[in-house]
Parts: sequence; C-alpha cells; structure tokens
Amino acid sequence: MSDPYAELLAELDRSVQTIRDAALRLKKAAAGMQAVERNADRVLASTRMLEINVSDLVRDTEGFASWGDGTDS
Amino acid sequence: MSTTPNSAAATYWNPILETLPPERLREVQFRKFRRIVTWAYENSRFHRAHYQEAGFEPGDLRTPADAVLVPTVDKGHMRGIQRKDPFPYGDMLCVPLERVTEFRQTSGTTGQAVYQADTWQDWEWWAECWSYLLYAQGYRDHDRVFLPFGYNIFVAFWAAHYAAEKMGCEVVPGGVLDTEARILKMQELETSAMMATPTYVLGMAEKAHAMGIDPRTDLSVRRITCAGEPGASIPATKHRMEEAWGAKVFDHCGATEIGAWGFECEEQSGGIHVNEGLFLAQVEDLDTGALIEEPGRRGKLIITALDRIGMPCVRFDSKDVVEWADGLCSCGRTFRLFKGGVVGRADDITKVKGVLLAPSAIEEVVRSFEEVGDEYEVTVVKRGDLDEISLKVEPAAGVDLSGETLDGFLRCLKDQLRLKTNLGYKVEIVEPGSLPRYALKAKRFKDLRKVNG
Repeated sequence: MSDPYAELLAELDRSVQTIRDAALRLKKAAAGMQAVERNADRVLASTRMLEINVSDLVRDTEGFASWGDGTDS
Repeated sequence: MSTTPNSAAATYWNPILETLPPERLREVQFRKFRRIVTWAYENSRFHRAHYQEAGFEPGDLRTPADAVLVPTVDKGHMRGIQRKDPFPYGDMLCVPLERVTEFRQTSGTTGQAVYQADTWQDWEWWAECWSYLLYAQGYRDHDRVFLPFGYNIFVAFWAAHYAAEKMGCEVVPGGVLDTEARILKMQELETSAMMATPTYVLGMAEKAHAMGIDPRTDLSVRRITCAGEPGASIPATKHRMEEAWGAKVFDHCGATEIGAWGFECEEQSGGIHVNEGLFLAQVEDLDTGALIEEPGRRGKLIITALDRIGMPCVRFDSKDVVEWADGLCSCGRTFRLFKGGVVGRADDITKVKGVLLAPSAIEEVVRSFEEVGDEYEVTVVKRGDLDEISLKVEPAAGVDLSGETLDGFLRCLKDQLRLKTNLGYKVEIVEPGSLPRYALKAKRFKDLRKVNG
C-alpha cells in the first residue's frame, strides 16, 4: 500500500531544509554579531524539531542542529 | 494534490507520526536508534569506552534485533563519572560545554543526585515531548494553565511550561507562592488546567477545603496532569483526585535522565502510551534480561531517547516495571501502551515475609476505602527473625471510626490487603492530620529492616 502522506511529507521536508539552509547562511554572514548568531541558533533548534516531526520520517538527517561554527562535534 | 491530515489534526499533535503503521514506525525508530548510538560513540568518551569494553561498535547494528547488543547504562554509571571534567558532567557529555544551556538534577530519591546537561536543542526537544502529551490530554490554546511548582533545579514541570506556551496556552507560573496563595490565584484567574504530583493535587484539595473553597465548585480546573509519582495511574488514587477536583486527571511518565517518554491520552484506556516517535522502549525480563515483546508479562523498562544529544540517554535502565498492553488504544495512535502505566520500580519491589511486594499495591487498596483520608504510612520492621508490616491510616473528614464500624472497616481493609498483596498487616487508625504531609514526592513506605540491622 502506498504512503498516503508521502507527497505531503516530501513537500514539508523541502521547506524545512530551506529554513535550515537560510538559518545557517544567516549565521555565517553575521560576522560575529551576537544578536544575529544567537537568534539563528534558536531558529536552528526549532528547525530541528521540524526535522523530528517531518524530515526524519522520510530520510536520514544529521540529528542535531548543525551549529555551523566549528563546534558541531 | 497531497493527502492532508487536516481532520486528524484536531486529535493529534503530529497526526502522521502518531498513526504511522507499526512496521513503518519500527523502521523510523531503528534508523534513529542507530544514529543516536553512533552519535554517543563518536562524541562521548564514556559511551565509547563503555561500548568498547563490551566489544560493541555502532557498525554491529544491522537489524532492529541487534539493538539489545548495545550495553545498558544506569544511574550508577552517571554518578561514577560526574563532578569531573568537563565539570560537572564528566565524560558523558557529547557537546562542548559552551553548548550547554540547561542544568537540572535528579531529586536524589534513590541515592546521590545525577546532574543532567541539555543544549538548547535538547530543551526544545523536552518541550516537544510535552507537547505530544499535553495535546493528547486535550490541552488547547484556550486553556489557562497553572503550574504550582518550585521552578528550581529539578526538571519537574519546566518543560510542561515551555510546551504549553508552544501550544498557545496561557501559562500562569505558580512558583514561590505558598499553597494558599496558589489556590486563591487559581480562583481569581479561573485557570482551566494545572499540573502537579498526585500528593500535591490531594494536598491542595485538602488545603482548599480548610480555606472554605470546594475545588469542584469554586475553582475552574477541569484538567490535571500528574508527574513524579505513580498515583495518577493507580485507579483508586486517580478517582480520589478526580472526585476532589471535579476534573479529569491524566498521568505522564518521564525522568530527568530520559525525558517525558509516556502519556495517558483522553481515552484513558488504563494505560500509558510510549511516545515511540521520540523514544525506543524495550522491556526486559527482571531476572534473565530477555526481551519481552508480548503483553501480560512484567519486566524492566530499558529506554532510549532518540533525539537527545547533549547527554544522550541510550538504553538507559530506568528500573521502572512495566508490561505491554494487549492491542492498541481506541484513540487511533499506533504508539503502544503500557498497561497500568509504571506499575512499580525494580528497586522498590521488596520481599516482606518472603513475598514480593510493590508499594503501589498497598496504595491501590488504601485509597479505595472512602472511610480513610489521603495520607497513610507503611512501615516494615524486623522482630527477631520475622518481618512485621504495619499500616497507619487517618479517618476521612467527618467519618467516625469506632465500635462496630471500626471492627467492620478493619476486617474489610485487612482482607483486601491480604487479597492484593498476600500479606497480613497490623493496622492502626491515627488522629486526622497526624501523619506527615508532603509537598512533592511522598515517602509513605518505610522499610526499617536495614536500619534496625
């Protein structure tokens, strides 16, 4: 039986990835500005919750928010 | 055009994940399990050494059945490594210290307190776990939720606060107010829901009556979520709370080291759902450690938080005694149920007169008698070579326990206790208000045999 939510999940996952990529770009471009970096971190943590609810159902994700500042692991 | 889960969105926080076909759910769980095991192995010196010592490495996880190959972790391991660098968490930490935003610790009920680090992502995850459970219990954005707890180093209802906010509820922090002030604030604000330990739920009702306030008619609370003690899954205790407040009382299960892993849903079908989207629960035989997959057999819960990264919880030996329920809940979730919630603790179950006894069985009997109040105390002592078990109860308000009434009551109580626990008790009726009152977790079962030598 085909997955009735496959198309919806794929569509949602694409949007989640867009948010994550944008937050990472924002953080990289912040030039050390804490007001931008720290708020981008919060967006990434929230994005991770979207991945748990959406992306993890369709693909393997990294499992953490990709802090993008060299402290990822 | 996508298939939409709109109709189910009224019932479930995540209508897709919560109703995922079981085989699909197992597949997602295994992928996530493999990921968190690998994460722990690669980022925590403790986990790497622990696994290497057992001859295990993440590459050994080829099928879901291989999950049992991962060595378990318990509080003893955590206590053994903390207070060392990276201070104060030790080698279990998987992220640089600067990524830690939250400190909490266990209450230390079973020994030295355990410290728990969380990143902000983990804290978001805590709130996500609680969002699943609060939504399943009917909390919605029109609720005004009162949280009468201490907002301190214990995790308690912290995540419930953040989850209720995320869901759009209006949250009233009851912080440092005393019980009387909390009751008055709840009355003033007409709060519709609250969360507390069963002991405190009953204690608040008692205090409210002493203030001339009947929670059923003078307060607006219609939904209560409990944590910290097993009472909300003990039918007699749940009934007492629901009667006292005129509210639906729901249970939830969780722990500082694990997260909020289980919840009772609005169907109240006599069990606790495991949030299998975010956790992997395995039940192991108390003696042999063999995996129990079928309903009706009690075992010990070994649990993994599939998405917690700061200090991962992988195959944690919770010591909670549980059993799988037969069949799925009528709510439509495919998350399996533990029948009766957590029915005991592997380290609570003790032998008295050679009989295995779970303190929750005594509570179930005592709280089923309307003649007695909410507090009771059980003491086990050694007289020579023999164990002696005593129970103290207080008469309920307005109940006269004397003469023939007393004889009949004692006979019934002792019969029920013998029936449910296979033990004979020395029962004493004490003055109302003379037994200890507890604000949070109660200690009503006192085993003095070791103290007495």
